Amino acid sequence: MTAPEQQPNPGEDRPDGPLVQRARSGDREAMAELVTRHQGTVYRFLLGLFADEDLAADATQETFVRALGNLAGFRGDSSFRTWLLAIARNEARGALRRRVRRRELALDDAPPIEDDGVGPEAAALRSAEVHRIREALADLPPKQRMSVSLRLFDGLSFREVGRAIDSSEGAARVNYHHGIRRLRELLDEQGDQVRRRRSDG
Amino acid sequence: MGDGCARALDLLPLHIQGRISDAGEAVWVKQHLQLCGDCAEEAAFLEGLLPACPEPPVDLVASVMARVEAPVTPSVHHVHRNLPPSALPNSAPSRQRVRFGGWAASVAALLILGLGIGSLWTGDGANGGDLLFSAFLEDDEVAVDRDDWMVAGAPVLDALPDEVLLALVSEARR
Ligand SMILES: [Zn+2]
Repeated sequence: MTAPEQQPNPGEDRPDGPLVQRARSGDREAMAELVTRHQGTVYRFLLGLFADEDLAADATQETFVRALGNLAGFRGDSSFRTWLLAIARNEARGALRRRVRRRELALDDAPPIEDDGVGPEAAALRSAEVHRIREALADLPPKQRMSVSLRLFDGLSFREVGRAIDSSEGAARVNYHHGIRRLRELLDEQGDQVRRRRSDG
Repeated sequence: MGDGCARALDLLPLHIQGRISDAGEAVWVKQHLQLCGDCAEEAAFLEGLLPACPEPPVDLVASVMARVEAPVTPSVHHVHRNLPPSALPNSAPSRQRVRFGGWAASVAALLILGLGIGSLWTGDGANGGDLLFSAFLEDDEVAVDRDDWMVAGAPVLDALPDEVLLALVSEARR
């Protein structure tokens, strides 16, 4: 039933080792390249966790600032990406505390923070279909959403997905497949609703 | 569903992005898709999802590098994707302590529910609980923001399952 994991880290076609070495010695270009390479994965992982674009963007920034400031803490036991995702999990906790702080401010005197995460132009640019899929993704349970995102968009192995979501490889696989099935159902339901509305009106 | 379908379905997300590095395996998936309508349909469905791949804010790399360059500041500024930097407030929000009110009480309840008694008090003995609560409830960066946490492994915070964390986030949002 379960297919063997063919690649330990699919998608990681370019090894990070040399870049990490350079970044450790203070090479800023290497640092920026590491961020460029992995920002999408870290962001999508955190978005999968929070289903909130602002929280995810903040925590992604924090993750990289921390990681780059603590490169000595990376000992190469795992891939750099796996290490980053572990930091991201920890940053998620920091994001929670900041969220609470911000909320207290909003209650007092600070101007309300625009929380939609999508400006009007950006929203207009998003096609209806993309919007529909993202809505459906947001409706998935977090572990399914994270598994779908990391496997489908970032091509992580189920083993690596498992580590990122604090589960086993098997659980990651199950979460992925359940997530895809649920996504299909949600999109079908949405489609039915649209069709019904059209035929009613 | 044929015998190879489970294997194919596992590999489809890699296949549609050309990420299967093993050449034999890549060929196998292609052949399977020619023979199996169900899996081919699933591949088409997955391909349809790819345009919805969420992307981080365009200025993320620059924001990170600006902070790595600058001397480390403990406060975090919010990423305003739709505002120019000049529109951002100049002063960092004043630091306020989280009051031990209804929210905090819910946190305590969640922590106890989510962690169970065993995992909270393993390792450092009775101090584990105090550390955990100070980390979450006090507006004090020291408990969790020390730079050695990654080396040390931050065992107490690592013990928090994601479910608890998520419950905390949704609680905080209300
Ligand atoms: Zn098949």
